[in-house]
Amino acid sequence: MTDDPVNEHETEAEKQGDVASTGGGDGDGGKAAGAVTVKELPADSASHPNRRKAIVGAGVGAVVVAAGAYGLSRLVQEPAAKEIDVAYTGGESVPLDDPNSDLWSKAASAKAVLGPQNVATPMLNETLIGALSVRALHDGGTIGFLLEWGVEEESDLTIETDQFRDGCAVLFAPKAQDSFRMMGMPGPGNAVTIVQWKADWQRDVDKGFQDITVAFPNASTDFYPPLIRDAHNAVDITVPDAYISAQATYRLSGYAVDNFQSAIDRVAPVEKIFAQGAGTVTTAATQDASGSGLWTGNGWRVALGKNMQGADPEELSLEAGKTYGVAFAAWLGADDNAGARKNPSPNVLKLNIEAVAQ
Amino acid sequence: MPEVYNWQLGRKMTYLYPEARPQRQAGAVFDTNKCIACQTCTVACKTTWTSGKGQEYMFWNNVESKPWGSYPLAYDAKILEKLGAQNWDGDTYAGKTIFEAAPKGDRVLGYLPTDLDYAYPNKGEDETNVTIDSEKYLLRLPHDAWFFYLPRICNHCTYPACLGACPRTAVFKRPEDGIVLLDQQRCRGYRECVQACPYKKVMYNHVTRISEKCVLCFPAVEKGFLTRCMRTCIGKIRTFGYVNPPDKADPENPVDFLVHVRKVALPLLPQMGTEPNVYYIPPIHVGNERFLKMLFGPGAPAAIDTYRQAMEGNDPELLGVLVLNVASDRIITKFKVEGETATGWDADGNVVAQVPLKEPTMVRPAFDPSVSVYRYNIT
Repeated sequence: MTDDPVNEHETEAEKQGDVASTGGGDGDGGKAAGAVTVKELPADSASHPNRRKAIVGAGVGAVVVAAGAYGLSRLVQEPAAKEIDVAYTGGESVPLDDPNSDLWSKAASAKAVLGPQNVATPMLNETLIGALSVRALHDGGTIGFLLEWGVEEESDLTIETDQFRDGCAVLFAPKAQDSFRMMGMPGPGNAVTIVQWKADWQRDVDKGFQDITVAFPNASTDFYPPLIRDAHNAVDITVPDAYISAQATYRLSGYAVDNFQSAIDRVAPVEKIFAQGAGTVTTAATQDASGSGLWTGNGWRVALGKNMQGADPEELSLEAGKTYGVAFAAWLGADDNAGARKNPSPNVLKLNIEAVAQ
Repeated sequence: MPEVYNWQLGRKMTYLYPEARPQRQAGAVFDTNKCIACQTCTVACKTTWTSGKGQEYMFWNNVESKPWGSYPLAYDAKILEKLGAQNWDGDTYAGKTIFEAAPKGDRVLGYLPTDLDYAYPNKGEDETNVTIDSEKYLLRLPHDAWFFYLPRICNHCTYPACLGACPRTAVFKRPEDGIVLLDQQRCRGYRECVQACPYKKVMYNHVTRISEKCVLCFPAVEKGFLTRCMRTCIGKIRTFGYVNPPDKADPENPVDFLVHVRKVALPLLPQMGTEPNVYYIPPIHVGNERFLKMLFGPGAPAAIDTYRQAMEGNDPELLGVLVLNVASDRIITKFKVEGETATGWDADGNVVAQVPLKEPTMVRPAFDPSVSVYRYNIT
């Protein structure tokens, strides 16, 4: 026994067989996916101005400190969940717009273990988010999840070249799987549906589009051709309005070609995605997923979900009373997590959707 | 990982994908001896492609003063230091490429610049390699105290690091001309490409929050015209066309002639392993051979000798291909020197430029007896 309750739990979890292999076959396969230690940064991370401050204390170790309304303090002691039960609200709408709603307490808290994505390059060799606290509800029409994890400092901007965001995602698969590659990317012909919440999108929704002056408050620009503006005063032109009125959106190429990542008038901080394997993530044609995230001061509390009835041909529809597969992932912006550099579930858990009482 | 042949290294190397050379490869030669850092190329590119909001510090074309200038700051010093020893065994590279030196879990050895690194595009402008004292003013060649201008665009590499690093295959290389493009619909802003490119020519847009890069003015190139940065070059330092691998070199093709026949044009930082397709004629006045070899590979001293021969009038063919630079806004795919004239043809077989090897000059007497006045150059 050690004096460190975090590491002690990790050992106990391994004994209980609750800690699954992250797979990958690259020599790290036996590493404990449920590792909940607070990681030290690699030596060269010190060159990154934002990193060390933000990460120290991240992971479930920090969650102990961040005792929240929903029993996060108990997360370390909880065994890793193999199944996620989705409780029926009794008819009330799933509060996707309110992570603090009392309704979430209707669902039991489960500990979803995360591990490093060390299966396909580019990898995340070490996880700094060991687990998420998960609660799940449905109202017969909408399924929603409340995810919580601890981070010392939020990363909710992606304006600068070296700014990466915090985020989390829920993946829906037709069934549970013991082994699980990537973020539930089972291969061609088996598309999975993912809903991903992004901290920078949340900030856009809450405060309006975060333009360059948020990151560069002293920015000054004479003009942006072909937009005409007073000299030295062009930096406050609004996007995309000024470009639309000047018929010059080609100057915002990602926006002009409708790349959803470059959208400027966001209505939700959540993206609905389909995928069939590594590198195949595709923005869904119908963006009807929703959610809301709150910074608690020492972590994130995020509600997110989607309609149970799929709107797109690739989308997995869910029915009450049935069982599916579910997996989770989290991204730590302060550790430059993005895309495949993430902390995913090592396997697909069972998702039991409670039947609607007649 | 697949093995591919990199002729600039004289050996095979590992890359993320099998060797797949395009039908033809767009390429260019920049003569560093003629560049005056007027930045006309930079401005031409900037106003054409990167003057939108979010692109404030984005220069797909930049001109930096070597040895100290760099954009983004110290991009070359940083990746060279990360790569470790870069020894050559004759013309064969004996060190590791950025693909072979990739850390565990990464596809490419690289680093991500900060925005401050992009904020000083003219840092090091006109700074010499050493502090000038009285000794250094002695006029001799090569100079003890030196600097030179290095114009840079995307190298549209044969083995692009950005393409290899992108997990979404959002970066692609066109089979018809080898131009490397970044799909603006497919990119999700992960910035793996920004980290991977050793030349740091993929950049992040602060407003669209995805990455962008030089498109080599493909709409112009498709119609047989030079890119914006090339056709506006007032120093006429740039040869633009198509470059073949050495075993398929065409001596009538201007780029092939400079790269493969005379071997006067060399790749920038070939040890990275990307097989860049923009080539440089090294500066002849730089008194540090080791620096030039680091920047342009082991062929730098021989290239300088060859260039000097041409400038002394001993190689009219080499002189001829260089005077055709930017003599037309059409891409010259064939050239010939006959007598005192260099002629260039476009891909359709049209003569698009005829240039004398030596510009005619006239010396005007200072005194004009017809009106009994002295004329001065400043009047």
